[in-house]
Amino acid sequence: MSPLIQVLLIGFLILLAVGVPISVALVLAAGAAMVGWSGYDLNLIPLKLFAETNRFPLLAIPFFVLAGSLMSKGGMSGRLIDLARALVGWLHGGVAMVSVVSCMFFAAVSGSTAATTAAIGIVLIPAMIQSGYSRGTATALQSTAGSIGIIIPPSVPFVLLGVIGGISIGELFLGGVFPGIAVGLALMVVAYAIARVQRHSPSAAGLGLKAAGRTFARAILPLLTILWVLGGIVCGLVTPTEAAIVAVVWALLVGGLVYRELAWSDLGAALVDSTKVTGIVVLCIGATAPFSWLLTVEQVPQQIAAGMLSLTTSPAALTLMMLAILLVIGTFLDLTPAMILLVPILMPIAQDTVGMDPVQFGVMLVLALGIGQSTPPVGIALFVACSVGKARIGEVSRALGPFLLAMIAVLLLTAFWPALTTALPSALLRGG
Amino acid sequence: MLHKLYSQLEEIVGAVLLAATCAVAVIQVAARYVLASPPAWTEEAATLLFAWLVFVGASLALKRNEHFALDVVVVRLPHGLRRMVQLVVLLLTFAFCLLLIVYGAILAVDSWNVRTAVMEIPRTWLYASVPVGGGLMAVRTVEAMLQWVAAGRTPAEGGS
Repeated sequence: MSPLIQVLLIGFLILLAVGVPISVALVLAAGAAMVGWSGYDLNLIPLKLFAETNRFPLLAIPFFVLAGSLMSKGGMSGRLIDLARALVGWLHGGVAMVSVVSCMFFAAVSGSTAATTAAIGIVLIPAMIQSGYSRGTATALQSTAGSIGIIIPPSVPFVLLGVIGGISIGELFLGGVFPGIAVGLALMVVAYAIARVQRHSPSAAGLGLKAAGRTFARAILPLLTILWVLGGIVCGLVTPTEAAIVAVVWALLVGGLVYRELAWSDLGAALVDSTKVTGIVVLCIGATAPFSWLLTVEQVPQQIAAGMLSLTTSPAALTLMMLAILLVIGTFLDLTPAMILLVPILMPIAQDTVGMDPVQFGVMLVLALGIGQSTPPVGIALFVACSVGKARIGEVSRALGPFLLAMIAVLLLTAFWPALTTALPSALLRGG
Repeated sequence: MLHKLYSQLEEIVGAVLLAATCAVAVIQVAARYVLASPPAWTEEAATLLFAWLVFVGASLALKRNEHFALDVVVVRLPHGLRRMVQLVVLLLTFAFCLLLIVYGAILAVDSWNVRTAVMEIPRTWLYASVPVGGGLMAVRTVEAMLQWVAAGRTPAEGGS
């Protein structure tokens, strides 16, 4: 490794360890390496940083986050939970399944893990505990179910990945549909097994067809969001960014004018929250630009790839190696920084050597890093679930095992079965 | 009133910027389906607002200490050492802000004669978001340093 890269990487790791914000650490490490060991002009830093952040597709991030908070405050989440209750609430472990199905619905209308976990968890973690699950198990389930949000479209990480990896955002959205449903089913199987082993009684009687129909009718407006967003993208009527603004307008209309549950103060809070998330995520993308530019100039991704290839050239072994890297990095780093650091390194290996479709690679990457969102030490879904579930991180971590195994099983399926991710985008967007 | 404006500056400006960005995006989608030829300025206007939104949002997150960071090591340090590390982090963050201010300002000034494609305004209006955002973040970092000093003077709070 050249001295420049040593300073860059060691500097970054030291800064990270003392607790410097990741965005700051990336820029300072790049700055130090550029000044000390290469004589590049520091002007490049704001230039590269700005160029990376100022892209129209990234506008989908504030819009989807805004739509998510408007939906949870405007009465959409409650109606989706009622629908999930009617569908699966009468099964063994029904409340836990309601949580999973609600998260899937809510993930399908909003774009953010934190919004999904909070909106559903605040209602259903207490309900799960009441039905017999321990606080740890209930919160663990909520945190894993919440992380489905990033696989089921629309999804902020897919927008990001589309921009930094040059992959079609619409195809990524569609590629996430089946793996997202598979994760949901796998989590429900685990919840059912736990309820059986611990002998919980079924929580509620079946609703009957008429009542179920009424619940569905009440949830029709939130469900229509799926049609506007995904339908709009699939039919080529709107770009993902425009679909996101359509979701915002729909959330405002439904929450403000139809349900009348959205107050002006909610709107203000949602705008501020979305501004903050945008600042965090997009600054991080920008801050990575000078850093990964140096890595590229010094051909580090190629060196890492060559290192991996010198160990093995078997596609299966390389895939497993990538999954291991993603899972380990994902437990320590938040999804956004992990993704923007790893995509330039892993994507060439996945595409050129393993021969993966970019959409399959993208969904696999987000799912693998998403699993890390529910695990300590750093995991947004875990933190949000613990705070709404009033649980300690330790007790939740001990209960996470079976849910994580279920998710890893789906991850392996995604990694080794291309059709799971590519079938839908091929059928709908690639003209058969 | 003035104090509230100062302490809530990012919230107010950020909410207004985001609302404006949304409005422009709505115009873009609506115009496409209502008018035969949608206006060309919407995408550029939206990205201009977005540039400022990002840096105001970054300052908002800095003020609330919510940027992605790894605290697994720091929380295990003894109190005295942790205080030192906190100061180092603040100083490094301040250096980051200075870098954005100085080199961002150079970039903004240098690009006065470079015009954007559609609206033909100087790119300075885009790039200025970097030094201005850096300046806002520097102010919030100095605030955090003052809090750090104050926390050192009150032993009751410092023991946590």
